[in-house]
Amino acid sequence: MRDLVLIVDDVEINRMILREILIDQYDVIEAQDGAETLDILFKQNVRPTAILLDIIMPGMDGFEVLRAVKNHSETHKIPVLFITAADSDTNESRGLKAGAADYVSKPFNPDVVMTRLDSCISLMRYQTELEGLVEKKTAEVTKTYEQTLEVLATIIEYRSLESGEHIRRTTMLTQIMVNEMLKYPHYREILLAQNYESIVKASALHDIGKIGIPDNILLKPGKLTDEEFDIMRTHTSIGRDIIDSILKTLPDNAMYLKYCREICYYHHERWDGKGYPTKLKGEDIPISARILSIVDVYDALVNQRCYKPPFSYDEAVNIIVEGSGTQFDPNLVEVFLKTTETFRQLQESLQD
Amino acid sequence: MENDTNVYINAEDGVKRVGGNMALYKKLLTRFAEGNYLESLTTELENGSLEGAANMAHTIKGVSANLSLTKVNEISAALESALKNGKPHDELYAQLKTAAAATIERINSL
Repeated sequence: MRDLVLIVDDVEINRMILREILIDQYDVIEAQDGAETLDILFKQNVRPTAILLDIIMPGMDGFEVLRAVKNHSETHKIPVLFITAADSDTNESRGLKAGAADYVSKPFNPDVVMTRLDSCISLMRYQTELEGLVEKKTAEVTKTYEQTLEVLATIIEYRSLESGEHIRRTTMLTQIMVNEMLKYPHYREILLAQNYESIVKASALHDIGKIGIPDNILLKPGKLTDEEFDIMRTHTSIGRDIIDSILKTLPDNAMYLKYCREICYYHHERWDGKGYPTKLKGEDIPISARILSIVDVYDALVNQRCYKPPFSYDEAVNIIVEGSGTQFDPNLVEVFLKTTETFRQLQESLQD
Repeated sequence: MENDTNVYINAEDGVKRVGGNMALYKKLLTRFAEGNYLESLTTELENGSLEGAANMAHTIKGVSANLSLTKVNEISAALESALKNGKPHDELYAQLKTAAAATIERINSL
């Protein structure tokens, strides 16, 4: 099948000459201005392999058309070659900066036009192929990572450190919090920059460090002594150490495991700096861990633990609100309050 | 007349651009002759739109380059530059008019 080239020029003679130059090797369609170009691309949904685009045209000029092509997800990869009248001005460099793949000058030299067009198309193909490979590779890495997490979660569950339901609920509550945060531009920016899906997945491992806590402390009904509590607290740094050793064997998963590490190590830090193990304060505490501390406490409150009966939803919400600005990030508590109904529904469908 | 025509139309060069297809080249020349390019330029100037006139001179420059209309190309390039830089352009406009008329006359007698 032959590639299709769209020629955009307001002068028919120029289009006819280009058509004649291209026709042995390409199928050609023509547009006489910007409006017709947009109609062909976005109304008729024609997808040319490349576009030859005149700059100076009545109505929309070439730069505006280029912007429209580059701003649309379905056309932004199409190489656009500007048609310029040589020696006239700085249109060549301006066009290249605006995202044109190359340019051809009037008077057209048929060999030059063909060579530049061919190489722009080859380059685009090569790039698309590479992007496909990267996507495939990334999917493989993600899969490995998810399998790693599943294995670890199974270990936690098997050792009865936490019930499987608590782990599943934590993940889901974290997902609900993240979904709510995405509605705020401030958090949206932060989360999109941080690959937030990984935060959600990593939340399942927040208590993995409890593997290193002796059963007589971990499963003790009632209050822990100060000494026992000191040992209990080490589950944060044990968790970090476990993730660090995994990082050594699976360096490809560094980005994902980074969140596991943060969450394990910092999910008992407090907004006012009185938490453990490092007494980090405020926004110095990674956002993943700040989310987790709310989610973890809430879930612990509304479910039964070996050391306490369940609280009601309203009591649990009140305790979180009371901790706003001391134990918890006050902004995140505000986000949390928007999710309480969803949290409650989830709790009711997933009781321990 | 032959030598004289070469001043205005470099047919040898122009026909190469369309793969040696003389019939197509002649057809394109006729399109140019019928294209009212000079009239459009005149209208822009009469309306006092220097930008529109510069764009029209630019269009004439491009199409004449593609058709190897040597004389028209030279003068339209100079006119475009004069219009863009706010220089006097009446003389160049007059020259272009004459050159375009002479070119079109030769196209029609081909």
